Amino acid sequence: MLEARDISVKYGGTTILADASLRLSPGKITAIVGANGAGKTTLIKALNGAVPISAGEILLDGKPIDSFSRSQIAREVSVVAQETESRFPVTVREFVLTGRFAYGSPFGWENARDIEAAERAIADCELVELSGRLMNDLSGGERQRVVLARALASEGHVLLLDEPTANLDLANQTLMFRLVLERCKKQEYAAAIITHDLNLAAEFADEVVMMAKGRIVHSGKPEEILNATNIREIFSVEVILDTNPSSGKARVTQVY
Amino acid sequence: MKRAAKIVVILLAVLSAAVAAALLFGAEWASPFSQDPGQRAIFFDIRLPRVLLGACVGASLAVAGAALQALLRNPLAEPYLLGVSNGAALGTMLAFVVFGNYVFARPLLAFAGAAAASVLVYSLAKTRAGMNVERLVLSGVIVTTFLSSVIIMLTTLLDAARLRSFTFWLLGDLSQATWSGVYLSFGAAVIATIILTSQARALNLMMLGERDAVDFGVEVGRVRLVVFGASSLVVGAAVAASGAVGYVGLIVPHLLRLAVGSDNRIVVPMSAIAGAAFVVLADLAARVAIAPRELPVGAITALLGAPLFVYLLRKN
Repeated sequence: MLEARDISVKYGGTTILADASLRLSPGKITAIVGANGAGKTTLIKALNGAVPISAGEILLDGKPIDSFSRSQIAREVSVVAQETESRFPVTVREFVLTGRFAYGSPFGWENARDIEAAERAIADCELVELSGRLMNDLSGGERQRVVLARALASEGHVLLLDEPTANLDLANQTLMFRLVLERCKKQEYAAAIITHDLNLAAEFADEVVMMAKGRIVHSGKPEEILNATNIREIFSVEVILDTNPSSGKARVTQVY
Repeated sequence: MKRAAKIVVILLAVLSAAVAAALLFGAEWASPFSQDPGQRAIFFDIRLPRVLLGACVGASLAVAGAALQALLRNPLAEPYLLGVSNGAALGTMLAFVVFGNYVFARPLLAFAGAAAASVLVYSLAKTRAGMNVERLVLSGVIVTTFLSSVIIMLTTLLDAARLRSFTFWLLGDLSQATWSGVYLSFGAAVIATIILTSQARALNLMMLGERDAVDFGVEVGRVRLVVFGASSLVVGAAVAASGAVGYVGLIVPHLLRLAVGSDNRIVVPMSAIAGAAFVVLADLAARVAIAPRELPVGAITALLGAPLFVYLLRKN
């Protein structure tokens, strides 16, 4: 379990994130929504200790996160970041295996356990046919799936996903959410997902966190939080809410 | 792993052949079994230290290049182009001018110069948003030209005879090889190859992105410190012994990646073997191209490396 209590992050003199509190519990998916620049990515980065916080505290399984080493954190918390591009030729399989870094020693090669974890992640993300291909030869959606596979290979029980469905077509969006959902429900993972798709948030999330200007302004169950007033406040747009006839969850339709 | 073992064997065979050829051939044939004491002296006293030094220098520069490229996420990073070699050259020169013939001051100040240049280039190239290829290359150019002008100013303190040998040295030259230089740069090359290889798993992540590397458990600051430290050590020792031989750290890792892929656990240590063979052969070419006169080995490596640099820059 990962918990943030009143955390703030500053770059130089500017406050990027203020007094944010959040609890990621096993089996629960938390969707983080908000306009661009609201501090969502900074919140995710702070949660695994990748950026230093200026106030508050982050607890990993009840202990302060700075009492863990980077590899200890990496074994507990897996991150899917917004895609980065590399100029070096790396195959899909090699890329996914780098997710096992925290389990190895400096000179070590991957052992059978590492290879098993990587291959299962590759199979789960439907990448078996691509595993020998170079990352730079893949489409954006395929690369995004590889990035997810690497995070799954690292076997952290908390998943932090920064817009994992950006650039994905409908089939891949569904696959991505289904994979995260499966891990959360069957294996009791905790997950936080930044997304711009309010309908996906309504459909899959157990809790929704709405952010604006570096603060968490609303948080709670999707059916309580996702209403026209809150959405107008956060995104400055008008929406109509009704019920999705297939799932019974809230459905958000923008009025242009 | 099997493929890696095969490539180690091939590279070692190439290195042995290169060393043998470089010992036997030159302005004239020299055999270790000759009846002529002159030939034996050429073989053992002139060529042997020179060839061994060339191998150590090649290993040093290539292994530093391979590690710096992964660290800086830039296939164009290379000790010479980043100004690290010139930092070491300035340090060597200062030692020469200030401490005269106190020989061990040279590698020490060369190391200090290389480390200072590394930190300077890194801080010039780094922005809050990260580091792009162009900015790093430009920072390297700025540091290199600045250090060159300081070096040129220092050369005014030298007399004419020294000036010529110094100009050769500055371009990268193995003709002044001594046994103490061989021992020192051999030691530095071995230590740095071990240290840099120990960081190879972390570098595999860092070459894909610094942010991701942190997320997956890499202590980024420590890796950066170790890689800069070890590459400064090895470049300092190489430059103090042979001057600024350029482009070795660019050419060798690039060719290796084409052959074995990007895994730094293979690329970094094998760069040492391949780099040794490469400089030994380049120096052989430098000795026979216009025999009985010689070219500095740095002229040969730059002749090969500059076009590759242009190609890599365009490909990016």
